[in-house]
Amino acid sequence: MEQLGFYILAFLAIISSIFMITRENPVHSALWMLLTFFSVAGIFVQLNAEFIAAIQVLVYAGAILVLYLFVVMLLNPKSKGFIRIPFRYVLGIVASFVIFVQVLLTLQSANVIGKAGVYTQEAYKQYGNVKLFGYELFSNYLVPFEVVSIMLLVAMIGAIVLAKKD
Amino acid sequence: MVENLVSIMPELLMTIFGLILIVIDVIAGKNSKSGVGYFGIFFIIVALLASIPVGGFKIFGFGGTLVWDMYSFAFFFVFAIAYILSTLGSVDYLRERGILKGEFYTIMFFSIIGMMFMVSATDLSVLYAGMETMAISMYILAGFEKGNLKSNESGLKYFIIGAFSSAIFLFGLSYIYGYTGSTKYVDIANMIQANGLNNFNIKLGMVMMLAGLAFKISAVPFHMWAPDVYTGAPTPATGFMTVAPKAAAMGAIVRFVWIALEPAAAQWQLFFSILAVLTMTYGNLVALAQNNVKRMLAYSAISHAGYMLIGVVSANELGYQSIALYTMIYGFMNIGAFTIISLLKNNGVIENERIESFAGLGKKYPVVSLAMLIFMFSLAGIPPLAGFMGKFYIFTAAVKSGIIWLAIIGVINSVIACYYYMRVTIFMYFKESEYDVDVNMKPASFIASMIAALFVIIIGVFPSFFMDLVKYMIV
Repeated sequence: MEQLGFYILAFLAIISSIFMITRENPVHSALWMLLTFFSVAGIFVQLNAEFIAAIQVLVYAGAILVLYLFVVMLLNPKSKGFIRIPFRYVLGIVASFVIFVQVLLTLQSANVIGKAGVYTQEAYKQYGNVKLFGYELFSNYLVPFEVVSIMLLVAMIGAIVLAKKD
Repeated sequence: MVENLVSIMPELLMTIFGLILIVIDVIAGKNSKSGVGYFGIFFIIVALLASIPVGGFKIFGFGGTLVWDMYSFAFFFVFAIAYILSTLGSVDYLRERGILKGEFYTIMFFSIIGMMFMVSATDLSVLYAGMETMAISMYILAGFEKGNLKSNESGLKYFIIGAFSSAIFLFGLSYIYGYTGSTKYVDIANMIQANGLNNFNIKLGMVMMLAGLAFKISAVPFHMWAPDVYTGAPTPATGFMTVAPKAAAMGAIVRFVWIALEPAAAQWQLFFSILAVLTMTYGNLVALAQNNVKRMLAYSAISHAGYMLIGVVSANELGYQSIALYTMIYGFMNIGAFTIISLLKNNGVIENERIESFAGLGKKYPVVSLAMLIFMFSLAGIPPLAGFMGKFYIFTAAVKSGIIWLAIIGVINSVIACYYYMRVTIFMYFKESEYDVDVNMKPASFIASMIAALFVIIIGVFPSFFMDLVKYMIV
């Protein structure tokens, strides 16, 4: 049953991403991208990563896509795309082929060692993914979390500086 | 608890000061925004004095994600130098172009916090967060002159390529995390030690991570953004950008490869020696053909990254000490040179930074030309100036660890580099001026260039004091 769910979601993700890059109208592309995001979020749920799934929907499907649509509507580009890159089909095919082979090789090498984490299956069942994630974030990964807040402050100041009229 | 606080204290102090700077910026009147920069200088000196690791102590904090030691402090010192000199040198340039805003200094200040986290990180997540803080600040600084198309292009280009390089870095990081199950440097080292390097994933992750870091130091073949970005950005920002982020990335690379990838030394030595040769040679050869001094210095910044990489490859104590010393020296001489370039104003039809603007400067403005001469000689590595001492230590480190061929290539390259640095001085002293050129020298930039010139001479004559500053273990 779980397998079936995965196949449906994965198929949906692949199909919608193919539609996304082949549509001529940028708004259509953006909507197909939305579908891709949702199906990937579904796969995350199946992997017991509810937090990442929620972030995927909130940030990507929510914020980034809306931003995308805003830009498309403000710029009103011609349907033939924004920029013409020379050899773009060749470049795209080569790049995706390299990444494809890379992912295949990674999946092939079954002896990915890794270190077993400290959280067992029981802990997940008892507290849930989101709670444990939050605990880790505010204990072991406190420093990067706080650094990110500085980064957002800088980005905010910068956005105001660059966008404000003098 | 106390250890945690001590290990993060310098960054904490800087963050608090940065927030105060924002408030000062709001209070300051429209014509006194340079005060924000001066307050920043005061704050950074206070933070610098407060964070000296007395007796060379070494304190880990937050479960081994962060460390404050002499090595972190040495790089903090470099960032402080870069901040102080570029602040002093930038005031007049920015005022003349009407972009003197307090945010320029605030953003520069916050970028330093990111860089400090990069160097003092012993955990990949801290390294990445610090790197992004630094990078975002740099994108803003590059595009700070909103009315100038070149500055816009520079900011946008830096942003796109920087985001791309961050993605590559993160992708590699995820591979390393997947293989070792940890983001801590020590755990990664133990895992590689225990399991060897035969797995495809760890090698791929390593190469991609190091490539992502190589983007930040503009090593060839990851340099394509550097010339345009450095040329287009406002000149004082370029001075800052060629020194501080490069030093930070170098510090982070050294700490990362020294601790985490120590068992894989042969691999990354090969990787970095290829990069070093390419970077030095390419940077120098292309710089030969430049007629715009700013662009020439952009290419020279690329080639200097190559010299610093020799220190990484040599992989001994002297190597990383000389990297810290080199970045410090490079900070003085490069920001000094950029300060002087930012003062030139050509009343003719050509760009201010063209080499023809320097013609006949020696007679008209003897002090400025003398300072420029010192910077150019030092960049070329002519004794007894500081640049020579920096290169000397780097090449010594390479010879000590037995990679003499790399040292020879480095020396050949610094000989080639002499040509284009000397060309500027020849134009200054032996050519008649074709255009009417003004040097818009105001007290602030005068002080900046004089401090820089003075330190270039002092470090050249007494290098041992500055070498002692960085002479502590990093592991």
